[in-house]
Amino acid sequence: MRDSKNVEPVGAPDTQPKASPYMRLPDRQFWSKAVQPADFKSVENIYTKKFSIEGLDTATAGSCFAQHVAKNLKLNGYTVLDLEPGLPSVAGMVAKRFGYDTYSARYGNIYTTRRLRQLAEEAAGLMKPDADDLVWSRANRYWDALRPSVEPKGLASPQEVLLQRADHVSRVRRLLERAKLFVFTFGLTEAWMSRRSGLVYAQAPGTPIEGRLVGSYDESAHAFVNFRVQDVYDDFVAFRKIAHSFNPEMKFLVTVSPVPLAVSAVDTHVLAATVRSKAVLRAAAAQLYEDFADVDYFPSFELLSTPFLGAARFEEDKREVQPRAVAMVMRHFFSEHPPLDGKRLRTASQEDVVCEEALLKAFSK
Amino acid sequence: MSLNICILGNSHMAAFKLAWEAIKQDYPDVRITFFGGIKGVVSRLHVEDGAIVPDNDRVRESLLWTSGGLDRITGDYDAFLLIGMGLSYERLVHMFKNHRLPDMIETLKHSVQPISESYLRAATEYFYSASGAVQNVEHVHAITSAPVFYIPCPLVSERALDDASYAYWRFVKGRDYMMNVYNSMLDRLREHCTVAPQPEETVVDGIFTKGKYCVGAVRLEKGLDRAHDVRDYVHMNAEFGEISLRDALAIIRKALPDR
Repeated sequence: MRDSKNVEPVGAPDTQPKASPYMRLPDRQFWSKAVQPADFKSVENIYTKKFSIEGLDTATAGSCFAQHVAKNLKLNGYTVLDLEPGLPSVAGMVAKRFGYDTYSARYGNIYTTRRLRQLAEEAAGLMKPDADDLVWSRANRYWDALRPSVEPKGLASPQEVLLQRADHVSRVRRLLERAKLFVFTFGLTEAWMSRRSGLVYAQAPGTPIEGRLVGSYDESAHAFVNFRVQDVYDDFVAFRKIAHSFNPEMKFLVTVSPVPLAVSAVDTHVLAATVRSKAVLRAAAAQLYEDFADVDYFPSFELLSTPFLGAARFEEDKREVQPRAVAMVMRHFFSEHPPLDGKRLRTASQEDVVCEEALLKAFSK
Repeated sequence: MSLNICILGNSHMAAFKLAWEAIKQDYPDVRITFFGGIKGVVSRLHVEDGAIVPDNDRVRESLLWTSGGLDRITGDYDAFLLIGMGLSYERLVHMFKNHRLPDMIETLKHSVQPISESYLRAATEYFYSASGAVQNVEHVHAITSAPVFYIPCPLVSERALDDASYAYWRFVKGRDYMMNVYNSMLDRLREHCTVAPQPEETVVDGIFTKGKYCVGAVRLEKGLDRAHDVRDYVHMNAEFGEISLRDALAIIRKALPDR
């Protein structure tokens, strides 16, 4: 159900007569005052929170940019849930390499809202992926097709994949029961799915992980899909509905990843494909923000991926966001959600973000 | 002949430091200088200009008080004895507190999370290679050709079995698995130093330290007079320190008969 409480039509009647609806608007709504004289550091009031997130047990998921949000929330005293933790005494890249210590459960990056929706449906018992769709194999090793990167060397048997999957899904269910805030970063619109079941994979079959091809692409079994605004919107609305069935109080904070596509499966230039993808995601995020009082939007995409605030904020590959830029974006975020531990804002180091989508660049060689 | 020994260790060194004060009159020809600290101090050392030096002021401060005024470890000792510093059988078994390999799981339940053999191997490899023990054995070899001896962290006290928070110690398959891992780690370390086994008289059932030795253990802090929590089953007391140190000194003497 849509909630139109926060929708204020342009030109809504005011109690005071005025000559123009643009009179008395705040500075931040005027390009000449808010953007023209500003740069990345000095731009102000680009984000105004819709609701407080203080004290909310938080779940995080999404594309690799979401890892920045998760790390920085943790560092500044917010309670970020982790219901699928790694081994004690082993943190850092060893844990991250196996999908631990990254998000609130070990789902790896969730690039599309369809994958998010299907995960929630699975957790709610509304669907159960067929083992033929779920298990990818190669050279007697086996992967969970919905999160292959979390076991880079694969597992010893299909049974082990199913055992880990059952455990994972039960933890996602508990996560949805416990989380009061779900932070999600929209990453991609392009995805690969099972023709038979519509199950959307985390990555294309046949993508290498740590130099080893995982799964095999079969044109008769796998289909490409490029989601549209309505798809993205509907999938998130469906996810929200399932999440509220577990926890009616849950709120959502969405962002759009500024990271461009590593490669597009669409027969077009990757830059055009990237802009199409990000525009779709941004539009869907706007609709969700406007339609639901419990959905907030943080404009990290605007800060990092538009040219208006100065030089580009990406590394030489023009994909990876510069650590200083991430830190600056997070400062904007925490200007509205101050650190909870009473200490000064701290920003996490950025070197250990895991981005499976970047694995696709291997095919450009 | 005199024997000049450098001891480097973490929190477990407290028992040895206390013990040395009690027994040093029995070793008039032995001089021991202690270096160490808690909370990762031993992992915050590096080699510079032929000495092992602290990374920061906190670590420097810790070296200063444990040694009685030195903030760098030079190579001019006759022998180096390293104590504890991460290689702990207890911490390996602790990995099975909430996690299990697939063949260790009969029924899925939230309290037990399946993990892959690949992940466990990567984790234990990291556990070994990132330990202060391994790092500091390398550091010592980088500054001197003097022999290096190592005393692993004590086995957990048998009293842990009576504490519900150590229930994972009743998981025998896990204990056995990790004993193999632990032994292979010590075998690897033996390629670089002499590993002194925990004295038999302190061990019970092959995998625990006798209960009496964890009573009255103190923290590695100035004064050496603040006791560990009564539910601390991994740090041992001065009596344990004495037995272990006498044992280690005998091993060092045997290796350096001319000293």
